[in-house]
Amino acid sequence: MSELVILLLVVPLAGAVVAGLGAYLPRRSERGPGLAGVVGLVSLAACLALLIPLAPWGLAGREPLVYPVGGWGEPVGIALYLDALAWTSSLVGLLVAFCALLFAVAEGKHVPRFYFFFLLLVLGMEGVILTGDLFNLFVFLQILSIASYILIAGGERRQALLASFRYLVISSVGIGFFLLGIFLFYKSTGTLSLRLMAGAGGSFRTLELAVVCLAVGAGVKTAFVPFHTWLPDAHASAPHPVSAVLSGVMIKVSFLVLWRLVSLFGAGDLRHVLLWVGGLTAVFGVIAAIAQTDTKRLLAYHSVSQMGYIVAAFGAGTAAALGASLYHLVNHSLFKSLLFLSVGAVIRATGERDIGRLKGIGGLAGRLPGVFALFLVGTLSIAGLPPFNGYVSKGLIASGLQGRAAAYLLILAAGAGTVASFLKLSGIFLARKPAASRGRTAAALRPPPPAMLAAMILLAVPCLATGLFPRVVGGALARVARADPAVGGIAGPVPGGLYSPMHLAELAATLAVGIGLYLLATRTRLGDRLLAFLRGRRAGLSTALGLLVAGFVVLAVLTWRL
Amino acid sequence: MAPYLILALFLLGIWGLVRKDNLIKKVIALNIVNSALIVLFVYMGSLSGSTAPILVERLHPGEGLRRLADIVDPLPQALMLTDIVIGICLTALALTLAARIYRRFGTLDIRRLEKAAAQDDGAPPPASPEGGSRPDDGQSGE
Repeated sequence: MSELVILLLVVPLAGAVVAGLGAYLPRRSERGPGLAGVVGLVSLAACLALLIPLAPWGLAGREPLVYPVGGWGEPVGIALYLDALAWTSSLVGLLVAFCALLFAVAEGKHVPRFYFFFLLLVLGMEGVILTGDLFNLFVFLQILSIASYILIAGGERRQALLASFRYLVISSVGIGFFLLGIFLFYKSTGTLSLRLMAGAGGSFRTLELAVVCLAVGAGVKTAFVPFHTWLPDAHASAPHPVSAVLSGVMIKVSFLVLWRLVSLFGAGDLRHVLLWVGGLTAVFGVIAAIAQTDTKRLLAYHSVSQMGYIVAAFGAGTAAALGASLYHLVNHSLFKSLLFLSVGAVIRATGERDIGRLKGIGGLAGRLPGVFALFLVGTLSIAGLPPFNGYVSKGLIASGLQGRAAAYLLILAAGAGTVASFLKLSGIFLARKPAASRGRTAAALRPPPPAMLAAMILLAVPCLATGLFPRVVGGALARVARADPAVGGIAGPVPGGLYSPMHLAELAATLAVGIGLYLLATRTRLGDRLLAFLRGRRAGLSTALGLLVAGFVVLAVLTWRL
Repeated sequence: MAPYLILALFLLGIWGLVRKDNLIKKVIALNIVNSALIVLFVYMGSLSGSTAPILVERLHPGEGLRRLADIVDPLPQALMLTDIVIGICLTALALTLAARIYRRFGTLDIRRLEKAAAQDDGAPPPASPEGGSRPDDGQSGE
């Protein structure tokens, strides 16, 4: 049975090689790219199928499945672990990757090399999720990163190259801190295996510093404030399916690294810092998002903001909050990928990506009804309206943060901002057709092919399912979160009171403030000026690196002192 | 002494990354940071013993076991071999990106590049004649 675990790594790798070979088909044949895409889809589907026989380890709470690579036992060799957290994140990650790849195949403009690196990215993701060895984790993180730099650089506009370079530099420095953390760990515990390490003693201070170093490394990839600087550029410039994977998979995987490390060492002080970092990230991201005029940049800032929710709930550290954090993590993977794909379909159809210009075209809701419906699912989910999944997980997070008034308020404020910014984004569909004075005709639209819609439907259905069956999903995820030793055997959250008056009042307040904020921001001169000012504030690369180092110092000092 | 030198090397790399505007110099600085980490692993790892980690029984009959107890921990060095390979990949990729950036933007100066990218996005409020707010105003007038 445990051989299946290694197959989760072998299948994407083999798929990558075969898809890459598509580049060497004779020049004449134009089927190369299409075939490479199909190979990619098949290998991802195979990975998803592999998860079925492994389900007992994912859902039934069995002991983790261990696969010693090459037959060497743990102190000498590297072991792969499949536990509930790994199974769940594999499921979500592979599903999102599959849908994004389907979208890419439907776009039909990618070369076989694209599919090669895409599958390499999936390999890196699975490796990070499964490995039980800290240095191996570093290697897979680098594979994941290098594949993503190349995919981002493939964006259409020339900024994509610059965004990729900036991301490369910032994340390499972040991973440098990660390597430093590995060194400190090895020095104080004498092993690199995560499981053996937890038991090994060692200087407490050194271990704490090591966790901070690792958290900075993972934090740069997870993109919470102040490490978020690379994300808006990278996610906005990447090709649409890559944006979906970056938001739906990449930042989640690195957060899971953080999750594992922190829960393994029970670093309570760091958790406390993360609660604050998360709250601030949620608000910051949403403020920056409202200011954007570029559709994809707006979504990218929302990835920052929503990660703030997840990090804050994780930082709260109670059983209920952890379950909520995981729930929102899954939900955000689904709806943010859906949003990126649907906005990508709009951009592909119209050739425009600026909110103002898309409004200028007008009447898109009627002309792209399928895309509009799917976009609406994503929007209502992220804005937290019942019965969509965002309402469930945001409600769970809010109740998980009970007793932490400041963080709770920050999260509510971020919720209002989310509503405001998605009102703004929905304008691209809802704007009426301008009086026929403008020259553009309906013929200019490129309707999305069926495969593209299918990719989005595949994401929209789980979005609805996780919203409509909160008890089932919440119960399963609570069991997963309970594997976290810091939580112990406390019962997970059963979202019974989800539609309680308290939560509905929260919802009403959020909506009211959100609509008010939207009107204030877009319909008044002051709001216009404020947004233009915010839009102009972009962190240069030097500032970004300065923030990174400063963030490390602050995190280290805070953790040390608490 | 050596740890301080390694720290100095690390900080030198960070300084280069922050202060140097040329992309190629940034790549060099990235390599300096990486070298600092490699030297850290190899140097600190070498403090754990005094002979090379080779099974020496056949070379020195009789005293092999004594030497075995005194070998340097080979793991950090092995890890750094991997890191060096990854570092080369990253350097190659970064230089390729820099070359492409030069072809598309005509400069390697990060400040000019960032300015050009912001202008492409129509981001700076005073400079762009057709920023996002213009059509928005038209909408609200209707």
